[in-house]
Amino acid sequence: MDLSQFFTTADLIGIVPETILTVTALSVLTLEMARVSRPWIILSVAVLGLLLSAAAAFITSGNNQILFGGMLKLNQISLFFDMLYISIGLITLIFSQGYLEKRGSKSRGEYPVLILFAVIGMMLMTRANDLVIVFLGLELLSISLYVLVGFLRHDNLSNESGLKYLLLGAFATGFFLFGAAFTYGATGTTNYDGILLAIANDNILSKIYLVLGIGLLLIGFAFKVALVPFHMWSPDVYQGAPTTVTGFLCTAPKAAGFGALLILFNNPLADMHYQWQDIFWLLAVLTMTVGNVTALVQSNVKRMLAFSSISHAGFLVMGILVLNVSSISAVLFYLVTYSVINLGSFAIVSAVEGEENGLKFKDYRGLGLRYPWLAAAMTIFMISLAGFPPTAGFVAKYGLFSAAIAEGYIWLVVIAVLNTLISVYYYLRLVINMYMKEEENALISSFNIIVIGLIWIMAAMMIILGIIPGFLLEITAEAANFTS
Amino acid sequence: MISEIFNIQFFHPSIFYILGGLLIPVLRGKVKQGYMLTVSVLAFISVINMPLGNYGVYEFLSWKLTFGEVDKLSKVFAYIFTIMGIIGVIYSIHVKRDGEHFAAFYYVGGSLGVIFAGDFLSLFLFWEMMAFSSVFLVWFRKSPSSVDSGFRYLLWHVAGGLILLAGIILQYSVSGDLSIQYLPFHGWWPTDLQSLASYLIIIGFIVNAAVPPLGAWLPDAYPAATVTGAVFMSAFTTKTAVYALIRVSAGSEMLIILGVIMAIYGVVYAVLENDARRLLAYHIISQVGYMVAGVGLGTQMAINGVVAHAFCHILYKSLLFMGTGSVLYVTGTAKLTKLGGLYKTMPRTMIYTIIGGLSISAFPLFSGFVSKSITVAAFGEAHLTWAFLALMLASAGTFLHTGLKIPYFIWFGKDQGIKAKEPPWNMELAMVICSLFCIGLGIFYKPLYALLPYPLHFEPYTAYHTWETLQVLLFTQLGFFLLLKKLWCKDTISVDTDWFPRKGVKVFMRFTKPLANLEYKFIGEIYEYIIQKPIMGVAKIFKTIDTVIVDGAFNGLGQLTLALSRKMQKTQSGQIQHYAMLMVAGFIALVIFVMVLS
Amino acid sequence: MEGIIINNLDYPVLTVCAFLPLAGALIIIFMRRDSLIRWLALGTTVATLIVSLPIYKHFDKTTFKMQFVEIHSWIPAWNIDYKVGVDGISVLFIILVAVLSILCVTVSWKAIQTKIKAFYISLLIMETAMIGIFVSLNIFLFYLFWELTLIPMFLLIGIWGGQNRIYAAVKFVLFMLAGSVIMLVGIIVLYHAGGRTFDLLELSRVIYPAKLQLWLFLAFFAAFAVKMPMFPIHTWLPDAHTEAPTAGSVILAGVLLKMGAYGFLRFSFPMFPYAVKVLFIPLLILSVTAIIYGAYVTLMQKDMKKLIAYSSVSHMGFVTLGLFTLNQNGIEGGILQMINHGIITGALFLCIGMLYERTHSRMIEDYGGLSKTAPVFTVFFTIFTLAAIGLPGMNAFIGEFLIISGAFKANMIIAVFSILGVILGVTYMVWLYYRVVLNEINSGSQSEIFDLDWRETATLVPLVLLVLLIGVQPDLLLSYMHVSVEHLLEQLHNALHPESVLFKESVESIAQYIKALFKWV
Repeated sequence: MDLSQFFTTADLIGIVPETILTVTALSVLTLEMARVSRPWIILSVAVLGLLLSAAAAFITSGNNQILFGGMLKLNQISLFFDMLYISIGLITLIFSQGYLEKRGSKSRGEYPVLILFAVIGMMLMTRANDLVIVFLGLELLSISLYVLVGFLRHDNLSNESGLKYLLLGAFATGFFLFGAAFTYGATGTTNYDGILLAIANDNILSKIYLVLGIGLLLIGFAFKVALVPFHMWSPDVYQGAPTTVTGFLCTAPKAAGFGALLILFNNPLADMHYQWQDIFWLLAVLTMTVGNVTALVQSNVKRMLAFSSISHAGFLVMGILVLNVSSISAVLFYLVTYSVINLGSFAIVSAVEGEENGLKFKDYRGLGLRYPWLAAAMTIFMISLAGFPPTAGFVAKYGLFSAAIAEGYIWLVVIAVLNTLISVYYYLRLVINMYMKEEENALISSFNIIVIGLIWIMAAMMIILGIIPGFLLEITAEAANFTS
Repeated sequence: MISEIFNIQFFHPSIFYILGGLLIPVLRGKVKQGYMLTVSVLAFISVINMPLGNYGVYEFLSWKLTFGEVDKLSKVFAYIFTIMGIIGVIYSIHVKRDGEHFAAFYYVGGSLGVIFAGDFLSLFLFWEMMAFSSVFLVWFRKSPSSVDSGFRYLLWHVAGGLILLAGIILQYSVSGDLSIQYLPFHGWWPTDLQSLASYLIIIGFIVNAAVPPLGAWLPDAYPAATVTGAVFMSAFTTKTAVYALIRVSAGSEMLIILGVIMAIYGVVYAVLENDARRLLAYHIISQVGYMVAGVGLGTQMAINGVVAHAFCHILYKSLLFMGTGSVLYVTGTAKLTKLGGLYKTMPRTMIYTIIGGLSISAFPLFSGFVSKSITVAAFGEAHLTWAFLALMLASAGTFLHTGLKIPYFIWFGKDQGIKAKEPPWNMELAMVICSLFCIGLGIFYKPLYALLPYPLHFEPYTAYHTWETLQVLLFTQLGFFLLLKKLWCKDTISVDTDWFPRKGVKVFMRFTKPLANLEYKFIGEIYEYIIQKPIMGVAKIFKTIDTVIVDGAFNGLGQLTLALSRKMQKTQSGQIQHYAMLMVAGFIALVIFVMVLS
Repeated sequence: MEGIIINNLDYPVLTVCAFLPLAGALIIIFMRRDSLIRWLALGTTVATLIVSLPIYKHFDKTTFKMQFVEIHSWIPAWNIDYKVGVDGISVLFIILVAVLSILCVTVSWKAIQTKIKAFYISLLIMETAMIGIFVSLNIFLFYLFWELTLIPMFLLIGIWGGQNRIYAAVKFVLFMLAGSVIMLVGIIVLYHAGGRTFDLLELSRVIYPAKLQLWLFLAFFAAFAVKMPMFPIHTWLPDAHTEAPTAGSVILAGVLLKMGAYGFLRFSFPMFPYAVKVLFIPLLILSVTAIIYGAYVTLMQKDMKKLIAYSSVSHMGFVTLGLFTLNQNGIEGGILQMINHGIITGALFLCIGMLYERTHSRMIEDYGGLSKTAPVFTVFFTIFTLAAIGLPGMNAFIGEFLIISGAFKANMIIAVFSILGVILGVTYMVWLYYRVVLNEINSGSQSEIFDLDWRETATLVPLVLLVLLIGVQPDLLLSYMHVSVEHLLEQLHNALHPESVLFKESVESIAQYIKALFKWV
């Protein structure tokens, strides 16, 4: 029988990156089976795969090119996200070296594989031009994450958080699926262009279904990116998960979630967007405020970072709320900065954390003396999260605020800046503990020159982006232009 | 700047003191003494050959500063100040502590600067210089009490100085002109800006002129000053104030009243006083009262009287301070009740003191007579009889205890058997010079009259004047010896004034008591009421406000946020069902929103 | 290019000034030996001073235009240029910063013994940020430098500070940030209202709607008032000044406080003249409140550093008073007084720091009779006390005289109150002097007191010279600012006609906004 009636070579070319990643993943598993379990081999294979797929994605990137009869859509923004996911996966893999051993589990091939699958899932989420594909990607991502979170089998905390994530995740997925169903019921299609058309021509079965559907989809995303009140899982999960996984967890899925949400509301639901601005406004304020205020009293660094990432999600919602070219490019910029910072700080946490200690604020006392470079990098990340110039954090925040004010959301921005003010308190707590408290039990960093080097590259990047953000801004602006 | 003041005819005498002072710490021993003496003499010479006119004009920012405005008035004051400078240096030449000389030099330099200042700004400059240098003359006594009163003294002068500054700035912003000019003030309250300016300026001056109650610093600080410091201070501060008043506000009626009050006030409290130097301090107030009153009258004759009186006053008052000072220096106390019978051990000092006493009580043939009588006569001519009488009365009172009481209690009286000897030669020399001046001026008064700013046709030794004065004085003397038993001193700390014997004259008692209370419970403590209480009291309140309310508010805000944070932390229970419930709640909220929407 | 004069020297003088310290810091990062680091830091600061001197040689006093201007495109995506330049108002601060930085290095020579590298790096970054603030003509750039001061100062206070340092450091950062984030909102609004540009000069040419001006003024005011600091948001200051190491206190008092006042001159006055005119009286009242309140609270302090810190509140009150009189005398006096205060208070903090090095006590009651134990110190301390009091012939007198005469033109009552402030000022300074220098020798901590060594003397002497020089020759400084201030006043008075605007109206309009806000919430 003739397959060409189902898809063309163009379609196949379009999904080469995913294919490469799948192949890599499978080959890694094969190596594992073949008892070739030297970590560096597995790592290099995985890294190679990621690099290849990145190259492929770059080559095959299209200009609003539709594949598989409207299932996928390739454009600059999807390319941008692909690159983001791949680099996050890459960095995570590098940082994960030796971490599992340190935490008492033997290095396993599944780990990189799961990360690769997660990356594939995320790529699908932002490349999707159809709710079904988004769901597919979402599930692929989620399931890999469930396993990753519970990866440390001997660690109860890890298992507990894995289970929590699984249950709540399933719950949220239910919401999402219902949303998709309702939307389908309302518009008769799950294809983005179809939905756009249906809404434009106003041949909708039932307004309520549509609104309900959109709301439920929103809930699904809100869970993924941990917006209040769907954020409760994140602190516990972040705390329990292996720190490197946490780093991955709080960056990549968030990027994917926001990416998909952004595309969803920018493209098919563009005409509905105005109705949802109040909701977004509310979500933004709630999320940033709850996240920041709760972070104030955390004594565990991972939890603190978890809450801070919640508040940052709140800032990002501002971008979704405004949703014009400038705000989208701001969101993209923000996502990059935010991912780099969190990966870096979690890498530092994972480097210094020991069997028992290393997660409390007070464990960091004296770090400034013992590991000045590490502490300096951490300081840069913290002030960058807090949004002090001249760090990328400031530029990112500035972009969002500027976009919001341009649309007249001045009071929202005022709330946002006040939140920034609150956040400074807990970010600086870490700095205070590192430099200003007398040394108590200095941590032993599991020194790995590659890790430290990478951390410093990222830190330097934060400063450089803070002083000359021009090039990245142009890239994001370009990507943002393609969304419309 | 210097180069401009320095020019051929005119050489500013302050320069000697201000620049000359700088070398004092360098030099030692005889060289230093010689040096200081030469400097002061040079200053005097520079005054002698000083032509009238304006010198040392200096452009500063947008203002024209005149450092040397020389006319007859400033010149006569310059004479006496430089003379006094020489005498003071001689008197204090034995002092080892450089700082004291330093302060004294800058003090004199400052007063000379005020005399020649042609504009308010430079006047203020030297005005402050006087205040800040003279306070060290008090502080260098080093006793805790003197440090305290020095502090109070400084605050008084700073307050006064800043009121003056306010007046000056106001005057400047009203008229746009800083040059010292004639701004008399009429009535009791300012009516418009111009008068407010001159009002403030006058207040600034009369704080230095020690007009009660603003003069409370004077009896407080002078007794506390060092032996030599008191001599300087008695001469300059109040007289510069008088000079400034003559320049700016001669003929302001309120000054007559204030002056007369001062004259009486000083005498009365001198009567009640036991510490010799404090007694003399009150006397300065009384004497300056004559001058202020004269300035208030403002006629040519009155001004002449004032100037002449200032001239003589500086001499005999410093003579008296030197005398009591040397007693203090030798015996270590100046309390009348602790002293007595010193005529045996310090006869020469006794003579000088008595000369001083006689001239201050305006005894004929002594300098006080030729000067005071002018002022008094001026009042007589002006037919201000009440003032005339009051001043006569005051002079009687003056004689009563400067001419009689001090000599009696210190030199005669009951011998306390104190081991004493004559003071060092330089002190004595200074006293000799002063005494000569006192007598000399009393007899050869013409040259003094010639110096006065206005032409004067006045003959002090008319039968009438002389007789009138003598009459008053003799009666006083008679009264003194009658009352002597009653006037016997008890040792008293100055606040307790009950030195009359229990069986003392009831009548006298009846009005001295309230007077004493008025002085020591109120005027003496005026510092308490004007400065201490309002400043420190309010400061305490503000401090609490600052720490409790203002700072507390911000810290409270922080605490509140943290508390809120803990509350939120509670919701993070870790129970998965709670989380699910919250998600459901979110979902319901959404559904409600949907209903609202459609 | 109207309103500016492109830098005509053969090298970018301002950029070099601003970034030389940063370069020094970067080199220091890789140094190991402490002595080397110290000398390097000293060298850098001195070099900065030397580099800055040509500015004064070639500065054209006859024009209000921005001089030595450099323009480079920076972030084209947001239309942001790198633009620096100085005029008569800002030019003097560069040398102030340069001089004080040198003194900070020398005074910390012995005092700082731990984490020396980090200390001097922070110090140098501070210098870069401070100079940058005074030269930047682009609000975005300005804000960058403005915020850049926070973290180094936070570290300076928090790492090398006294007992209560962490509390003080956090308080400092939170207060500063609270102000500056609100200013950030203001800046962004300004950016969109003023034609999507950050160029200061272009923004000042735009005439903004009245109500917008009021709001923007308040937004900027938040940042500047915290920095000043004006009553009642001054409470960070005593803590920060007290806990900071000597160098930190000197920088805080000498420069950071001035940044607020400078902000008023550079941004609020040219861009929001209407608002300034409307809020004229309340601002004067606020200033005079700060003067008197600050002076009163100062009187009650038992800790020398706290005392000086609170006195800064009062002195900065004078500065704002001068600025808000909105007349030539007042503003010139205000600017001059900023410099003076920088010198005098800096000097006083240096003196106290030197005492503290010896006795490790800042409590006044632990001292006394220094005139006997440390004569050289006493001489310096006396001079600076007299200067702080505003004795004629010292620098502060000129400033105060100008300010008060300006105040008399502006408002009689205010002026009279400010005089009261001066009296209080003398009271606390003399009282401090008399408790520390004159009292009987305090047996407790006096044994450690020994007199200043050559390094400390060399640190203080230049300040004495400055005090006297400015005291007798204020025209040296004033001549720089005349024209610029005149131009500033023109800008102010050519703005909306003030007669039509009454204070009541403005209050009403603000009240309306607040009502609107509540309705909206």
